Amino acid sequence: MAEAVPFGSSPWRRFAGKLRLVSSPKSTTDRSGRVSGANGPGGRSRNAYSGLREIAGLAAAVLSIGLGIGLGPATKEPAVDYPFREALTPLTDAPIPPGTALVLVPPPETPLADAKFWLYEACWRRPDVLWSLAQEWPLAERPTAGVAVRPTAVPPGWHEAWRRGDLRYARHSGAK
Amino acid sequence: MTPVNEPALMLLPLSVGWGAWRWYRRYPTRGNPLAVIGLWAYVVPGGFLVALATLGLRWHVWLMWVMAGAGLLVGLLARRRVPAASQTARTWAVVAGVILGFQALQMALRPVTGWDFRYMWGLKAKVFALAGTNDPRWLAWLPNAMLHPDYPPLWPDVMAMGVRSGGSVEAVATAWQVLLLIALGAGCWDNLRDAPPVIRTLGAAAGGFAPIILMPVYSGYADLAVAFLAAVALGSLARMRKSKAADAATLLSLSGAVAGLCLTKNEGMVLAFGVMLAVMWFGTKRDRIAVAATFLVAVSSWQAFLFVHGVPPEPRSLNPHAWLVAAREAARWMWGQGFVPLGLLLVIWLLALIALARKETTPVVIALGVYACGVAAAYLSSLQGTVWHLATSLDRVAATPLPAVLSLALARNTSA
Repeated sequence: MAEAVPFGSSPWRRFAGKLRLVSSPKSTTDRSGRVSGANGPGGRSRNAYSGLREIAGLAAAVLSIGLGIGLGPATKEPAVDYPFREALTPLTDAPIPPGTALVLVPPPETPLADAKFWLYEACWRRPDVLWSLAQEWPLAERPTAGVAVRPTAVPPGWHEAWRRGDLRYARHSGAK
Repeated sequence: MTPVNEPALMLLPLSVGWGAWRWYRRYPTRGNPLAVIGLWAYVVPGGFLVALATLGLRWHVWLMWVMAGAGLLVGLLARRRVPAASQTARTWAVVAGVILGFQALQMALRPVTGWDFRYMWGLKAKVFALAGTNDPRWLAWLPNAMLHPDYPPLWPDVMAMGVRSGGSVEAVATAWQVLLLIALGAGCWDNLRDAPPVIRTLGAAAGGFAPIILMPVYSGYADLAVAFLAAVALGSLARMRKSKAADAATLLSLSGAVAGLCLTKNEGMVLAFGVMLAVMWFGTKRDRIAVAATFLVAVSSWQAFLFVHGVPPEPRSLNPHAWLVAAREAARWMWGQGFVPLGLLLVIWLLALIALARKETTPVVIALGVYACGVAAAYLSSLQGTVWHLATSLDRVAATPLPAVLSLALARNTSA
């Protein structure tokens, strides 16, 4: 009759058992003296797999914690200067009534694909108004005001309502 | 808005969490208080704001005080208390607390700088706080379509609550991240109730040092909330399977986490769907009804809001040929990614799944399978370019459920 070995027979499992990292398999002896359970007949391979699982779980946790230390809150971020963040900072002071639908005119040299970043930043600076880019027209609600980032001629029918550096806010003359 | 001190911003949701914890004390299987408080402090106030917005009611500050008062009242009236089923050596609990406290301090000291925080989650919080609701006009405004107006609103809503109470959105996001991080560690600790204390501490550390999602570049994102809710949902699912039926505390936590997942992020909704399917398969009739009803109410309320207000859903490709092309592109991109960090994440996943192959975690594996399929479908049907989508999100999408999975992978084998 095989004697029940605490924590199984694999060296890994014995090591883990010494550290009390894995559970102790329960083996029971019935009235006839037969051992059943983890190390009993038919239980050996199952127990070895159980040990493998426990080691795999431990290894996964340790690796994850290691990766978490390497890629955690203390990770250094690359410093990136986004031109739109600085250029649109004064927007917070612009006298734009909340709820206004506006068109934003980024600097002319801005590639079409990057214009949306200017729109995002405008949204962040003034979340109380509705921003759009000219290429998104026509819209269900027609913008009645606009913000241009570079000095441009105000189109006929519009008048400049506010200016800070290169940033200009203009309203359509028909708008309230 | 009423200006308040920034630490006080969390008092409203925490009073609800405290009330919930006092209520849980009547259940012997109540689990860890920090996980319970984190769960209900996040889900109830957020769900309350979503419900108000869905009903067309504005978020008056006094309504939030009423909600917090109701939480306090529940806590004060809930006097019944029974001894907890499991006790833990305090020394190890203190060690876990120190680990989580260290990480929480690191998070508290870092500014919230994530791109999607500034241009999606935090931006929405500012918009919603100003409008006093999930502003349907802003969400339906076509130029905002790139800002994911159809994403579930719970995370911006809980931040908007703090902004309406007088805090800056960055301060509110930091406070919530600290709370959610501690709750995540506590949730992982809680999933190891039968494990030796050292393993419980390791589980808590796996939560506290969750890879990828705590990086500053992803700060202010909803993924930390999803990771915590996943830890609660999957842990509850495993406990339900182990005891054949969910006890009252487990069922409450499971339902709360499912509601939170559905209303926090689309990926969360997919995971919640997987959890619901697993409960349908393995749960009792009571479990099935509770979880399915929670899932359906949470999903349908937000989808009905979007439909009624004409908020456009994210367009998807329905062309199978495009899916194949996207799959090829995705495979090529992943092959070129090297070993760190995505390859290492995959190794961790593989090891965790080996450890998870147990009878009581079958429902967890089913839920994760549904999550993987849902995420893969979202990537392959993307119209914004699969590779761009993968490059900007695959690492955190893969890392989000990992703390939950690891905590369950570490659990003691009780059945083979």
